[in-house]
Amino acid sequence: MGAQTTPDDAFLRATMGSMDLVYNVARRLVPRREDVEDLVQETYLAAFRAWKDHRRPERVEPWLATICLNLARSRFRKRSVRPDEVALSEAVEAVGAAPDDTEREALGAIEREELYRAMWQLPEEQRVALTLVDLSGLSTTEAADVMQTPRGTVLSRLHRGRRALAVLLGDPIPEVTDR
Amino acid sequence: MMRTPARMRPHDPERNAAEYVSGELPGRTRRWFESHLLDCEDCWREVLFGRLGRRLGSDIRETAPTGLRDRVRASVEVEAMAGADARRDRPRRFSRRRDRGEPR
Repeated sequence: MGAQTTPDDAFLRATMGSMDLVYNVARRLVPRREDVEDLVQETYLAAFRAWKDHRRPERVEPWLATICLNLARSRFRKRSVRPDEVALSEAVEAVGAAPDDTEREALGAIEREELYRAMWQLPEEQRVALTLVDLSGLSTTEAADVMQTPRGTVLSRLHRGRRALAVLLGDPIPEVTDR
Repeated sequence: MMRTPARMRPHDPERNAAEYVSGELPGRTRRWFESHLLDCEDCWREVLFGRLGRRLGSDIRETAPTGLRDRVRASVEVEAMAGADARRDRPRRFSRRRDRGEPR
C-alpha cells in the first residue's frame, strides 16, 4: 500500500507554486513591508482551513488572491494607511545580489520602489481592481464578485487605475499613432 | 459598414478600452471595436493608456523571500497537527456505556 497523502501535503502541493503571486498581491495591498509576510502566512492558513473543510477552488491563484484581499481589508487596514517611505538608496542596499548582477538588481529595485510608490498614490478601489485583474488574473466578472460591486464599476476603476499608473510612471500622453 | 454591437452602446471610451485591453470583448464586438479605433481618437488614446498601465502594473513582480516559503510550510504543518491532536483528544461520546460493556 502506498503512503497516504495528508490534507496538508495535498494543500501544499496545490498552492505552494502560487507563493510568488500571493506575495506580490500582498505587496500591493498592505503598505508596511513587515506586514506583507504576515499577510501571506495568514492567507495560507486561512486557505488551509477552508481546504480542510472541503472548500476547494477551481482555480487556486484567484482563490488565494481573494483570501489575501479579504484578510488585508479586515486585519491590516487599521495598522497603517500609507506605506513607509523607502529611500532609493535603501532600496538598493536591500538587494543582496552577486557582484555581477549588482547594477541590474539595483535598477530593478529602484523600478519596484517607484512602482509601489505610484501604486500607493492610487485610490484603494483602483489599486484593488488592478491587483485582482492585472496581477492575479481574475476576469472583471470575478473581480466584481470579490469587490461586491457591479462589473461596470470594476471596468471603470480598472481603467482609471491603469491610466493613472501610465501617467505616473510612463509617457503621460501616448502617441496617437501606429494603430 | 459593420453595425455597432449592442454591448458597445453608448460610446464609452473608458469602459470599451478596459474590456478591450483585458481581452474580454467577444469576437464580433472586438472586430467592431478595432475598426472603430481607426476613426476614434478618444478610444485609441484610452487603449494606449490602458495597455501601458496594464503592463506597468503587472510587469514588476518579486520573488517571495526564501524564508517565507519555509515559514508558511511550517505553519500549515503545525495547523494540520493541531487539528489532528484536537480530534484525538476530543472526548468520546457514550464512553461510559461502552466501558460498562452495554450494547451500543
